[in-house]
Amino acid sequence: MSVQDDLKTRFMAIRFSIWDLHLYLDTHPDDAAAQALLEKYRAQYEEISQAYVEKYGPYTSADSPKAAAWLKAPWPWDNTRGNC
Amino acid sequence: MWQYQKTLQYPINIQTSNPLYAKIISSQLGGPDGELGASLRYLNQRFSAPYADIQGLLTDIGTEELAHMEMIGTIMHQLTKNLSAEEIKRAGFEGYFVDHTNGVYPASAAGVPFTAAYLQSKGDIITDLTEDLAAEQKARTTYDNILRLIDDPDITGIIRFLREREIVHFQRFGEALQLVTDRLNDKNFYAFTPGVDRPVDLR
Repeated sequence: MSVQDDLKTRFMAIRFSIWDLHLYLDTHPDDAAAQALLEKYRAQYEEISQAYVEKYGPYTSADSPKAAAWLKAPWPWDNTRGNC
Repeated sequence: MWQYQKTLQYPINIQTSNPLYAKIISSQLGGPDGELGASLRYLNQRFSAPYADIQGLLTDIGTEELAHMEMIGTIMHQLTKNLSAEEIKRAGFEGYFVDHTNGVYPASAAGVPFTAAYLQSKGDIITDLTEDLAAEQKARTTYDNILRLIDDPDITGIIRFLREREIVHFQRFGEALQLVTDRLNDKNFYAFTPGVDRPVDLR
């Protein structure tokens, strides 16, 4: 896949960065630098998540007050190249 | 409980069907060192893990393995779309096809169905973490072998990502084993298993 600096790629990259830092902090809970980096990514995630949901649809059922919107958004195994 | 996220950890958009590649990669779903076994191993081991941080790590890595299982299923699904009977036979995919059509089924590349005998939950944190370290290396070797057999750039990027995660998990489990041994009797950390031999709150 070509690397596109679009909303979806950024969203996925931020989500992944948060996750990987979270794993690191499981075994390094007192690492203040890692904790600060995690907070930075969390802030970026807060900024971007609403725009992501508006464009691509809900990615958790909690984001989706309407069942139809949840079902309408593509499933992760759908081949979406060209759509993003 | 878990909450489903309608996204993958890494994007998967494969353009060209290839049933042979689907069969090779399917081992990382239901094979001896696959993602299903990994998730079941860690998510079951964590109940008897004696420390909150180790329980947290097993929960998190076990959860990530569930996401990787979905990624392997996605690869299999996209590689087995719109196949002709001729393509199925030429790729040696007929044995899988006759039993599962293009459904995603957890089995090894050789067709052996998934079994819980691939994993252990021993109730001893030294033993379990040592198994987990080996499991991550076995999965990493399997991804290396897959990379020796396939050359579609739509797939190799995903496989390299998953291979890298095995290395990260190995690192985290190594740190966990170090944390655990530091808390046990440093003269003989096999002397007792916390939670069995010494019923005190060690957290």
